[in-house]
Amino acid sequence: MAELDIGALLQAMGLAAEGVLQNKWPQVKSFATTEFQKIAQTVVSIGEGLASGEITQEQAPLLLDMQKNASRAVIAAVEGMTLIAAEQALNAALSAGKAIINNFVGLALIA
Amino acid sequence: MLRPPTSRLRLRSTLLLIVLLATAGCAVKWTPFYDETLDRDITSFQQSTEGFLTNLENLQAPACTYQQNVKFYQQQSVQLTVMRTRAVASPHPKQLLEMMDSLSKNLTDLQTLQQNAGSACLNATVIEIARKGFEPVFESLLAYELALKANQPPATAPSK
Repeated sequence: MAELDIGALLQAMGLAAEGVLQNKWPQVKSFATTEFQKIAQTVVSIGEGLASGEITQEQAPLLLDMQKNASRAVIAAVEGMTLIAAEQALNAALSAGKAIINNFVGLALIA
Repeated sequence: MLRPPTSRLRLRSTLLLIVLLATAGCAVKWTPFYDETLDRDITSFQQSTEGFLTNLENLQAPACTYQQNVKFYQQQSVQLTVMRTRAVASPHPKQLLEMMDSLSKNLTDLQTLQQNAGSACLNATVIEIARKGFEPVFESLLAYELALKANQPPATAPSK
């Protein structure tokens, strides 16, 4: 039996993982950028409302707090979606490894 | 006695093969399972919150005051508790719970805004900015739920 090419195996696993991450990361980044832009615009609006008198000194901190909470939610979503992408990448790598190992031994050793 | 290089390489390859054999058949799971009921509950919560804000924009005093709208906050609080219970039932709920905490805190802030207004109505500017406090939270929850849904393993076809 020929030696298992560990280099080729690791390369295949790495490529499988990279493929998933390259596909998923732009979506996560786009989501985060859009949401933070909207939050920034709203913070500006709070300042403008305070200056014009439409928002009182009492209301402004509460409205700002809502934007802080919104920011935390966006960060949590980005963290969560990144974890999903990482999970998919690792599972793709493990799956690629499984295919090569089964091919090497000549039977479906790993289901 | 030092092993010859080819023997060390063969040992390393064998050890790596053993590790790969042990792990390659497994799948890692670092995220919650997709929960269709929770997904629907989030959308329903968004609808009721948006409906409340839209209604508030069109109400006159005293209908717009906190005393006349206590029921909304009570209902939303109950719904949030139900949603949290579902989230906790799934593994790795940390990010979902953080988003729900943000939702809960924003609801509290809105409640405080309305309470502080006393017998007066919140003006359109304040309501619109309050709405903009909720939108990113709902968008975050929905984007995350969509990602969880896409991460589901493919359903196996039922056997005949």
